[in-house]
Amino acid sequence: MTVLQAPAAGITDGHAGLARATWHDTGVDDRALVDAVLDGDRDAFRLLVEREQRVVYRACLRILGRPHDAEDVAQEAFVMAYRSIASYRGDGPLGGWLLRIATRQAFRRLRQRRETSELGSALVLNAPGADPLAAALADERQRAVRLAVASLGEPYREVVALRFFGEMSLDEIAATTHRPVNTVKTHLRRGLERLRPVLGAEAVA
Amino acid sequence: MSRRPFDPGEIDRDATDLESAANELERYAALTATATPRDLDDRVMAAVERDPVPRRGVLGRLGWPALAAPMGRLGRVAVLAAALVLVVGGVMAAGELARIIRDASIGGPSSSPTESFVPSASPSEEASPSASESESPTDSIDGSASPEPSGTPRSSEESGGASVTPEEQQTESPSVTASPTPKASQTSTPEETSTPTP
Repeated sequence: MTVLQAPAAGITDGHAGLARATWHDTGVDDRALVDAVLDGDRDAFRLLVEREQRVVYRACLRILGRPHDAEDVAQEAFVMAYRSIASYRGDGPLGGWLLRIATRQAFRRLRQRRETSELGSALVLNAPGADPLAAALADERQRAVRLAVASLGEPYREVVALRFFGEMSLDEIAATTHRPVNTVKTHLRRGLERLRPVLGAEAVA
Repeated sequence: MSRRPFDPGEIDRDATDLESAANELERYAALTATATPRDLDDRVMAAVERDPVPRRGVLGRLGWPALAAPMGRLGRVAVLAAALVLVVGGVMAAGELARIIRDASIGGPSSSPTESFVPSASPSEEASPSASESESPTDSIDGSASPEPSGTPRSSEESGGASVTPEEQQTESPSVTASPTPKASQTSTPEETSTPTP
């Protein structure tokens, strides 16, 4: 329980240069959390999972559209993060690092799903009892959004996914992807430009 | 609405033309803002429970635990055994290669005596230059005699000595040495070759 008793909020002992306010500001520094996990403190990793699972799961669900798949991929992403946590350099938010792993994994799963011709939409997000026609149209629209984002090339896809599906700010994306903020802005703009024919007002109309 | 609504000013330039696409993404994100499954953290921790503690250092950074962990303990042992086999195989292959190279380098001079036997069987061409180079017939006899005794023991040593016995070589070598000398003296005499040159 090293981390749970650790001093709070962006203050680390011995890692002053790496100290950052955590993404969700839960009072535990990212670097201290990672060091605790590397020291064998599994409770520290549980804390990380509890802290980030909501955002990671939602991002996966937004990419995949299926709760069951999203849950599987979120779990895989956490396990992958645990195994490679030593590669976290500490120069970006830990949540962003995790989200990056999760979104990549989710896009990979989506591609595999498409390769196995599971193209049928299965989003169970429409309210039960809603008009079937409206539900079907909404379902189709959501599927179009997912496919449009998934069909973007890198790095636009990653930036759009982190911004809209991971709900990260551009500064956080820049820190996570080790790119200048202006580059991230450009990538987001170009990504949206590519999405406009599919998702724009004219496409909706 | 999502936790962080899109603001066109985020992209600095006038991004109003992109607002519709961004709004569509926002709407989609709002629809999918559902609750997390209740037992996700337990499932993750159960999956991680069997894993070893992540490694620090180079191996950890290279993702060795990520590579090895899904296979379990037996799998890791198998990976290590395979790596060991590869290393041993590599060393053996390198040794074999070195032996082949060494044999090839040694085999060069050892093949020359065997080649020297072949022209000696038909010495009509080779005997004449040796005779022409030599100034006197006595020199040519000495020259033909001196390399062959030195060549025959070397070939017997290097080719193993088991296949070609010294007796056979001795029996061959006199016949070889004997045949050129009379021919050299008969066919190409130093007078014949030396007379056109001056």
